[in-house]
Amino acid sequence: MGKKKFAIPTADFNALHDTMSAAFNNTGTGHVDVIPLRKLELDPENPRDFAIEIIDIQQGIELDDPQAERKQKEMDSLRGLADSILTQGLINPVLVYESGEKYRIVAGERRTLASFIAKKEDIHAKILSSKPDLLKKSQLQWIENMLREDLSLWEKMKNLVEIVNAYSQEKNKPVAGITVTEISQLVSCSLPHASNYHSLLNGTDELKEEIKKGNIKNIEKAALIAKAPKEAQARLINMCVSGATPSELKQIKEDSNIRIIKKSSGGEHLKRITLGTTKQPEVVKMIVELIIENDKFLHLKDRIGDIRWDNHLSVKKGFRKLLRQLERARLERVEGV
Amino acid sequence: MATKVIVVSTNKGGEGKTTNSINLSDHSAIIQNKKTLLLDLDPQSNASNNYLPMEKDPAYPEGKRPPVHPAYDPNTHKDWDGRSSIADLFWGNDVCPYPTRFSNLDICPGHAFKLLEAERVTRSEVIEKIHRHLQRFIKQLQGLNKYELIVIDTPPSKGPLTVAAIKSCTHMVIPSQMETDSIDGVYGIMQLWKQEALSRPASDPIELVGIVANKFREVSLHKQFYDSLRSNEITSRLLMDKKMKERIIYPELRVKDPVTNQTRSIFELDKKDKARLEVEEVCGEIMRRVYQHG
Repeated sequence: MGKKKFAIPTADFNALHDTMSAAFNNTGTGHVDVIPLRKLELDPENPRDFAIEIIDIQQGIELDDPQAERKQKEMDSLRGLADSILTQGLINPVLVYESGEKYRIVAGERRTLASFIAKKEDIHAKILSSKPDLLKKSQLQWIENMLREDLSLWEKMKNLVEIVNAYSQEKNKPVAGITVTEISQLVSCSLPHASNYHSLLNGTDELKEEIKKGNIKNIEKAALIAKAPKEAQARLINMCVSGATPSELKQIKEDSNIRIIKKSSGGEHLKRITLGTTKQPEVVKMIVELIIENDKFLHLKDRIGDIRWDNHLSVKKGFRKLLRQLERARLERVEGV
Repeated sequence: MATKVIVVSTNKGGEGKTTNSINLSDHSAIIQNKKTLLLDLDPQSNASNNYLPMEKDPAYPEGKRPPVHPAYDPNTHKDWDGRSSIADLFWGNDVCPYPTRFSNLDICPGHAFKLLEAERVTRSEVIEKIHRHLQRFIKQLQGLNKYELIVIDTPPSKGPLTVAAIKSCTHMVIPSQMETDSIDGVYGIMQLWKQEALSRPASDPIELVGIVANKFREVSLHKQFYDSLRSNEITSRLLMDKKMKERIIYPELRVKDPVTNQTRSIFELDKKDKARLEVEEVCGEIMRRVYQHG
């Protein structure tokens, strides 16, 4: 008779493994608990978006308060969230850290204020054992903000600026030197998204002003404008505010690129350079990938769009687009456009 | 150095919690010369009976109660009946550790009836009445720095007493046979460990020292179960290298001498005794892991 074989049942084994793994990987990251609402306080070091204080909700807004009107509007704007908390509860815990006997809010000011309006006694919170550093705090707020459906582009940008500034301080690196790759790692997003954020950070004051006013709300449109030549931006902003679609904006931008290239050539007849031919789309693919994998040209991937490598026409169009984008990129570097 | 608090726990009875608690306490006090305190939270009070002449409780004949404390003086202690157990904690009373015949080892014995009653608290009361009491007691002991090591023996369940012990400890040891029901017990107690580990800040961790393969026999079942835990990267981290074999000496040592009414410690056997060497290795490995965590 052969040797007997015994094994811990797979389900039991996996359960043991998963339990250990979860504990090892998450120890010390904070825990979730229900805490009395009265123990929450706003972080005095946090720049606030709201004028309204907890005491205004608890005791009413003073009539002679110079910010009474603003506070009343804010209170009214939070009532919808307060009603939702009353009927459905708080979906996402607020994020706090322990500060003596109290808990200071890292993220979730709106939810906290709305909970007070809803006259709740306690609140679900994820509790960090100590105050997170500036970079960690901004990143945690970013993660929290991503869950908000009503988050404006301006609020997103402000949070991003905080993250980038904190990172710049920590690494002793100028903000202007922060790369697309670094942004993608800081906010855990794809490189094309990071490229959009990078462009917005370096956008003009006019563009940022329109975003702040809420006239430009779409990140793709805003990034497109930010990447356009400065001469074209004013027109692009106007078109965007008037409701132009991304395709329309793209077209205007492309036209602007061509005009600028022709202008910078000083009217000289453009000599074409033929780059040779190949029957193998794979060769074109190798060239394209080599270029757009370079840090300097990562942002071009978004601009040239998807190329169908099994379709010669798509390959031809895509490669032409890349050449145009490279010309534009060169011009930007040479002429500081 | 801060007092370490080791809980010996698993969800299943008969796995060797009490034997391991006794061995660890003896090893710490006798071999390592550390001032040690053993808390017996198990209503069966077998660990207490190993060190003290526990008595049948007239009010609860199925269970035992501690003997009168050696320091009791009826002339001076008017409000005390002379008996003290760890269960008194949960009734808001002081707890007075008993000395044992080993100078470095004290014990807060169990009390069957009082511990069982303590476990009958309602859900809403359990945190205040059980968890916090034990936590405060342990913190006080740590603050006094009277003991270098506290070992807690627990009942074979996931009730309030076991949870309280886990919430109060710095380290956890899980003895287990290498059999199906035992592994189930390990999984059960590890849920409590995980819950506690995730709720603690990084500055106050609960370290899972390891799973001690106990009552181990050189049979295919035990060897293969052990090997499968060993073969996985995650589970192998927690499987102790040294095993405790099934030996008759362990229950034999717990039989009290008819003349002295005392048991013997494994560390009172000959230094070359196989069982003693085995326990020294296991306890040595546990202590190394405990003290390497800082």
